[in-house]
Amino acid sequence: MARESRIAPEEDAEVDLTPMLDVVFILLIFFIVTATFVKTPGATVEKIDLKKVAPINSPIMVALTADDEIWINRKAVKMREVYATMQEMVEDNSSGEAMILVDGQSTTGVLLELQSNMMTAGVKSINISTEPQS
Amino acid sequence: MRRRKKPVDEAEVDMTPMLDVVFILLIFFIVTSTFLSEQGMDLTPPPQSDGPPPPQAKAISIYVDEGNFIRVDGRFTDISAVRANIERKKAEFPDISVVVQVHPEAKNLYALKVVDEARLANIANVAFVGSE
Repeated sequence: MARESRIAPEEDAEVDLTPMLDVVFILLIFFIVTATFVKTPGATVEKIDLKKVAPINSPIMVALTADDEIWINRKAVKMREVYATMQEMVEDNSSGEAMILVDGQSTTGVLLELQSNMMTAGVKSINISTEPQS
Repeated sequence: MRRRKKPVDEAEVDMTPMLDVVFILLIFFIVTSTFLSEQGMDLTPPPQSDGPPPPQAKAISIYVDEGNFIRVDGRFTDISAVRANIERKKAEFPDISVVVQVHPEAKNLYALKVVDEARLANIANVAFVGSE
């Protein structure tokens, strides 16, 4: 009998991992859900410094470089291919929000054409990305 | 007594390997999660309507030509003076709108700065259009 009562506390001293596992699982699910794998355009752009801005969070990114080249998902895209490429990206992102990284030296004619092509492909809102303000 | 208890203890599921895997997944998602902190200006074109255009309200027309010169209602204006010009006219007509017309060869740096200036002057209706 004396031996039994000595064994029992030893077994109780084992660490119960279940609550920690619960927390870890919740963290894991949170990070899986919030993970948005952003497809960066892959071109360097000298953004325009604008003042009237709001925080944006759109997974669709398009870059318009100084040479009026359009870059989507690390590939240079011609203007006539923008529609098809955009349609694919809108299907993956139901929010339909897009942002254009516009270089200051690009021309407005290309921007306006890109804008209208994106809208016809099903994009709901377009934002012009600016330098982050400090 | 002890000999009978031991097999029961061993039958308990060992969670350690699963915990290892879960931790590795957790670390992976923490590292790859990119919280975008981008800032931007809204430039969504207004929806196209087939109906007749609304009755012409008072509007300031700003033109950016191919040499990136800015004209506010026909007068050449420096970019720094655009907002003052708009605010002066807004004081006269509070619900005035601004139409920024741009030459296709104009640089976006100037065209979008003009749009930004108009928005900073609290103009609710700023149109960004190309010129044919």
